[in-house]
Amino acid sequence: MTLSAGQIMEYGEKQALAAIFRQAQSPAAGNTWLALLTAAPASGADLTMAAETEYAPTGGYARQVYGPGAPSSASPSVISNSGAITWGPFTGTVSGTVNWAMCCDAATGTSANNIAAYLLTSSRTPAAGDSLQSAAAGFTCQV
Amino acid sequence: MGIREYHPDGDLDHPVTHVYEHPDGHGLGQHHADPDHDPLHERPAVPGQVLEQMLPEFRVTMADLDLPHGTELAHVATDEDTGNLIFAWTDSQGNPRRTSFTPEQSEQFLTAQGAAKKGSK
Repeated sequence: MTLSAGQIMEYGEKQALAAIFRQAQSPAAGNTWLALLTAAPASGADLTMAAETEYAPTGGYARQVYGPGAPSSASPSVISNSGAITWGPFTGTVSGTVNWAMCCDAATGTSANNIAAYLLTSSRTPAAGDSLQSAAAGFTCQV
Repeated sequence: MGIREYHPDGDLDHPVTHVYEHPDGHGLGQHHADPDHDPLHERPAVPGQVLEQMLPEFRVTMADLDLPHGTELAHVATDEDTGNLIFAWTDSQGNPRRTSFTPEQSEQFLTAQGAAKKGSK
């Protein structure tokens, strides 16, 4: 599926600005995670996953490693997932329509900080046993 | 051999902790699929794709994305909200994946690596 460019969330904007203007050290290198949402984020000011409605079948679902390559050498510079990302297979009671994704900084939990939101160009309603796959570079973000 | 995952400081190799084993050799998705729906190998992975019009080498179905019998898994996290166990594994396309199992599913389908070795002796 093709996704729209990501919108950097307030937490991500503050981290980026503080880092590039050398007000603060950047966070240590580490993984970021892609969560699936069944409702749009209220605004770019949603700070954590506690503000979001995460996709929640009984089993099978887990946030996936975003795995971006290096930002492109261009202006605007772009970052995106370097490989395909696949969620599932979903098990148990599988209901709900996925229409957004959120990049955050923890594999689980509602205290994860929101980094960037992605609107899917078309929503998906998986059935039990299905998986949901995005091609490489499906989730792009630029400043 | 471990389960490889991306990390910006260098890929992580998680040790294998469990093996997914289904009594009938079914994949995890296949086991849970609604029998009233099309089987996984008839569900295109890309919605709107007409399988009959695709060359076989370009057909990707939900069966190709399934977690198959015999897959090696690494327990990497536990969801603090649901209690589900999260496992890393590598799918048939060579892509790193994470899939959660409820505690009941874990008990039913997963064999701890140590237990598998004991059983094979």
